[in-house]
Amino acid sequence: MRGSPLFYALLAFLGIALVGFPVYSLTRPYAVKTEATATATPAPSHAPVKVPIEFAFTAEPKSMRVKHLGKVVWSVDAPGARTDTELSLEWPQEGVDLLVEITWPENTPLAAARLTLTDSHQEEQTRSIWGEGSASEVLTFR
Amino acid sequence: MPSRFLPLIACLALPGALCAADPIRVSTFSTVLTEVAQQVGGDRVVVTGHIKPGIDPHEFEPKPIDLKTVSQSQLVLLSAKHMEGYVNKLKEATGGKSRVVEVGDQFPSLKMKDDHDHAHAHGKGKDDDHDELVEDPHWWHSVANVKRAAKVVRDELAKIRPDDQAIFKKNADTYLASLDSLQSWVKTKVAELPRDRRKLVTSHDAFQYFAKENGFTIYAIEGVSSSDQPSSKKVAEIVAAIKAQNVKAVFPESIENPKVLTEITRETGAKIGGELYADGLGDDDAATYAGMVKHNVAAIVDALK
Repeated sequence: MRGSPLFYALLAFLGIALVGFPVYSLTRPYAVKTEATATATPAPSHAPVKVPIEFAFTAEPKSMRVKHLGKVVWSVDAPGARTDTELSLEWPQEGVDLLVEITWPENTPLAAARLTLTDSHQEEQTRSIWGEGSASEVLTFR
Repeated sequence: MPSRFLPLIACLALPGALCAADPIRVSTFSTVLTEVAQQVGGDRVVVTGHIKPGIDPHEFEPKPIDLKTVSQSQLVLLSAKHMEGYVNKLKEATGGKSRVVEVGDQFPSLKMKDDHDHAHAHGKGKDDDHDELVEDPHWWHSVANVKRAAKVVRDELAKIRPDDQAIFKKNADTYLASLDSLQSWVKTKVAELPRDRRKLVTSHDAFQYFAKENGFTIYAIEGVSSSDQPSSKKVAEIVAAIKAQNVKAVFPESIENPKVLTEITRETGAKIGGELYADGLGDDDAATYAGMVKHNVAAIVDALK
């Protein structure tokens, strides 16, 4: 006894749908679920903090400047043997990089600069850089 | 007799004196080492680079013509840290007559997960345990390591031709000074990017040495080999990290199909950054080591700003 072709077609469709859905779920490319998002730590935002900063030089430079994120944040001509200021910097927990550029007068022998700043945790950090004629160095503070 | 034959006759008559000036034949299996050997050796070397720019060194296998050239070389320079699974073939080809130097093995390694096809490079069977830690072979993404490599090549050339030691030192010093400038350029360029934005998502886990030197965190979508395919779980983890850390760009590399990255950018809204040269020198602006480094660093920093 033969049934209706429409009935068999419906039966076949149901069979394909029953098998197809789980197969698709297993094999679809890069089935990205959002539950993993909950386990990741969101990136914090950072308000600028006041950062007292001071330079001391073994020989008086012609000029010095400090860049943060590619922008000049402090620049002084003829700063003398010491100079200081207060910068306003965003200070993420990963720390900050400052690019320090110093130029000494011609014929100045090898000279050094000591940079001291007070970080976002109110702790003093010190770095030194050396140069003959000029110095350009990225200093990292955490 | 034509005068142009005189040097040849003199060379045959006095091989110890005049033929000593024959250039040292060097074979290299890394595009970066090809440049290092040319710069340090200068006109005292003839360098055959067996891996051309754009060729994936993870997939490279030497052909008979390569082995023939190696057999005639006095110095063979390998990237190593297990990059070349065919090292024994090369050693056999030299018959022990030339120096085979695994340059990358001369300095410290970072470790990475060996989660897929790296068994190929180790010469292991496919049934070996996955997820073990192996040495990361991509040492040239640290400029400091390339400086170390230049010193290794300088010393190896001097062992072969002690009379030219001063020339190799002078060439190496010039090259090292250019690498100093490059290192300074990298630091200055990277300093334009806040340290909390130094999160690098790439399609090939090749930038650990760069990341360590410059304060980046790596989210690699693949393991060691650029033929690896990531699991859905790994991709989901990376998507979550990109969203949570607000990463602005992800990076394909110059060799492989960036299909997976496209999928990730669709899920996260991050843009695709410029192509990165992960496995060696490329074409155009990346045809030199300094060019390749500047291309990669500028692409990373400018996209993540």
